[in-house]
Amino acid sequence: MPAKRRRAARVPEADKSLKQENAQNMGHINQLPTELLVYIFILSDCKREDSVGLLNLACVCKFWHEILFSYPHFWSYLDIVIGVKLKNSGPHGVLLPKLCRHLDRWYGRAGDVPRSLTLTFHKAATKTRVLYDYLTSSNLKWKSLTFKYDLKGSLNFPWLDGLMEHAMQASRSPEDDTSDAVPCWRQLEMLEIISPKTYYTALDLPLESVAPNLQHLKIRVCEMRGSMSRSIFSGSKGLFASLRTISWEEYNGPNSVEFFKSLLRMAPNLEKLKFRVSEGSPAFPLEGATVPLLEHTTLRELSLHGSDSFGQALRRISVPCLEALHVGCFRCHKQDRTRSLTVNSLNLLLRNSSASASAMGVEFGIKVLDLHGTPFTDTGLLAECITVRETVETLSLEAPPSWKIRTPSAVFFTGLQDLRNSIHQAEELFPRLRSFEVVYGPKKSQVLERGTADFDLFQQYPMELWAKSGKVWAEEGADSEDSRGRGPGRRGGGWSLL
Amino acid sequence: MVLLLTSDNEMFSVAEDVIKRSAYIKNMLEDVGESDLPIPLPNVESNVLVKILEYCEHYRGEPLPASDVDPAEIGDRSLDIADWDQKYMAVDQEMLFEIILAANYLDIKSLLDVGCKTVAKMMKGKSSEEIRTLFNIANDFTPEEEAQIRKENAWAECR
Repeated sequence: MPAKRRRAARVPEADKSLKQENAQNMGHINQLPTELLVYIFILSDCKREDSVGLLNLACVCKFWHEILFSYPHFWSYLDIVIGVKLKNSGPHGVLLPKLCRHLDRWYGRAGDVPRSLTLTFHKAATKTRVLYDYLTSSNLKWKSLTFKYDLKGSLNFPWLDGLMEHAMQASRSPEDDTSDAVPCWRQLEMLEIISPKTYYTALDLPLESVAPNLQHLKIRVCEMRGSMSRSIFSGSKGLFASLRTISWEEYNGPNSVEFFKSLLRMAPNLEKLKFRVSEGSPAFPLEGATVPLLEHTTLRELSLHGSDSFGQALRRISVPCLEALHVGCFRCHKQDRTRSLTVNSLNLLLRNSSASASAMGVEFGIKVLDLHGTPFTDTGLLAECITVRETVETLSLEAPPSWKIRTPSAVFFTGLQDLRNSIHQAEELFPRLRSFEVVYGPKKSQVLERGTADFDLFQQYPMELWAKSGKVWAEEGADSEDSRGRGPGRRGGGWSLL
Repeated sequence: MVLLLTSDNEMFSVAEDVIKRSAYIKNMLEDVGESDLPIPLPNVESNVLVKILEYCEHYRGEPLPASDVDPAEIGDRSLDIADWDQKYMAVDQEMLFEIILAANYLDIKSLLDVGCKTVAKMMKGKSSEEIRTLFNIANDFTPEEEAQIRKENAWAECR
C-alpha cells in the first residue's frame, strides 16, 4: 500500500492566503484536508430547516464558502417552510415562480446528484400549477420527497391531492394516453406524507405509475377514510411491489387490521414495517375461527402498535425471516387486566414463523424483542422470552403499572430463575443478550448493558435483580402512570405533531 | 512488537495487535513481513502518537469497524459519542486536530470518526460568528458580501 502523506487541504486559489494565515498555528481547523472538513460539515447536520445551518457554515470564511459551493452533495437537499398561503394569483401569486427559481438555483449546484426536498406548509395552499409542473418535471431527478402539513384544525390537504393528480398526468405520454407511461418520479426512493391532522377521503397514491422504484414510504395522518381505503384495497398487486420499508401511522384507523394485512400482501419485498394506529378496529376473528395463514418471506423488522385486534391478527401471520419485533400499546381485556392479548398472539406468531422458516430451510431467530404494553405480570411472557432465549440480543420489557400489580411481577423472575437453575452453569440465561431494558414509566427505564454488574446479576440470579429493583420500578412507574389508566405508553401514548 | 519512529525521532515499541487498528500499519506489516527496522511516521509527533496508542490500547481486541460509508448517507448518522471517547477527546483544539490528522494518516477509521464527530458537535447549532470565535477563524467577508450570500440562498419570503 502506498504510504499516505498528510495532504494539505485542497485550497481554492483565491483563498490560499487566508488559509495560510489561519493555519499558521498547527492544529488549526483549516489545516485539515478538505475531505475531512467536508465530512465534518456533513456531520454537523447543516441541512437544517431552510438550510440555515449550511448558510451559517458558508458565511464563516471564504475558504469554507468555496468548499461548500464546490461540493454538489450539500445542494442536493433542501428543506423549505412555507408560511403563507400559496396561490396561483393575487398578491401572493408572485411567490410561486420565485419559489421555483429558488429551487432551481439551489439544486443547480447539485449537478447530477439526486435531489431531496422537504416542503412544510403552515397555511393551506391551493393547487399550484407552477409548483406542480416543477415538481413533476421529468428532467429532475428526485430521490426523496417529503410533504408536511402543519396546520391546526384542517381536515384535508388539497395541495397534495392536486400534486398526485398532476404527477399521474405528467406520467402519461402527452401524445397517446394508451402508450406506455413514463413515470415522472422514476428515481424517487422515498416519499413521506406527514399530516397528522388530516382526514383523507380521496387521496390516491398512484405509486406504480409515478414512482415505480419507490423503496421507502412513510405516511402519518389522522385518518384515511372511504375511497382511500377502497383505492388501496382495489389497487393492483404492483402498487407497493417495490417497497422495502413502510411506516404507516394513523390516529384513527377503520379497517386498520385488514389494511395491515393488505400491506403485507401488496408489498412482497418489504423488509421493515412500522404500523401504528391508536384507536379501535373491527374485531378480528377470535381463536377457533378459520383464518388462512398469511406468510411474508422477506420482512425482517416488524413494529406494531395498535388495538387488541392486531394482537389477534398476529396469530395467523408467519414471518420466517423476522429478526426484530417491536410490539406495544395493545390494551388489556377489561375483565382480565393481568393479561394482555399480546403474548398469546406472539407465541403463535413465533411458532408459525419458525415452522415456515424450517420449511424454507432457513434459521429462525429473533434478535430484538421489544414488548411494550406487556408487563411482567402477563403469565405468558415467560414462555415468550424462553422462545427467543438463545437468539435475542436486545430485550426490552415493561414493568407493570400500579393497576396491574395484583399479580406479582416476581412470577416472571421466579420463572426465569427456575430456567436459570435448570440449564448448565456455564451457559448464560440469554447467551447472546447485549442489553436488557426495563421500562417502568413514560420516560423511565433501566438499561442493563453487558459488562455491568446488574446485567450479570440478571443473567445469573434474575430473582435477585427483581428483589433489588422491582420495588423501584413499581413505585416510580406508579408515580408516572397515565392518569387515564391505560398504562404508561412509553412510545405509543403521545401523538405529537410532525 | 512493532517499532514506530515519530517525526521528532522518538522510538515506540508497540504490541502488534494494538497498532493493527491502524489499517496503514497493518497493511505495511502484511506487505513487508517481520522486520527489526522501525516504521517511520514522519507526520506524527511523539505526543500525538502517545495519545493515538492510548486509543488503540483501549480498544485492543475489539472488532474493527465496518468499511467506508457512502458520503450521501453520512448526514443521517448520529453524533452520539461513547462516554470513554468523549473523555478521550477532551483535549485542546490543537491536539484534537492533530489526533484527527494522525488518525487520517494512520487510517484508523473509528478514531477519525470520533474526532470528526467531536468537531461537528462543537459546531452544531452555532452561528457563523460563533464558529469563527470557536475556531479562531478570521472573517474575510465584508458585511455586504455575507448579507448577499444569505439573500441569494435563503428562502425567507414565505415566513
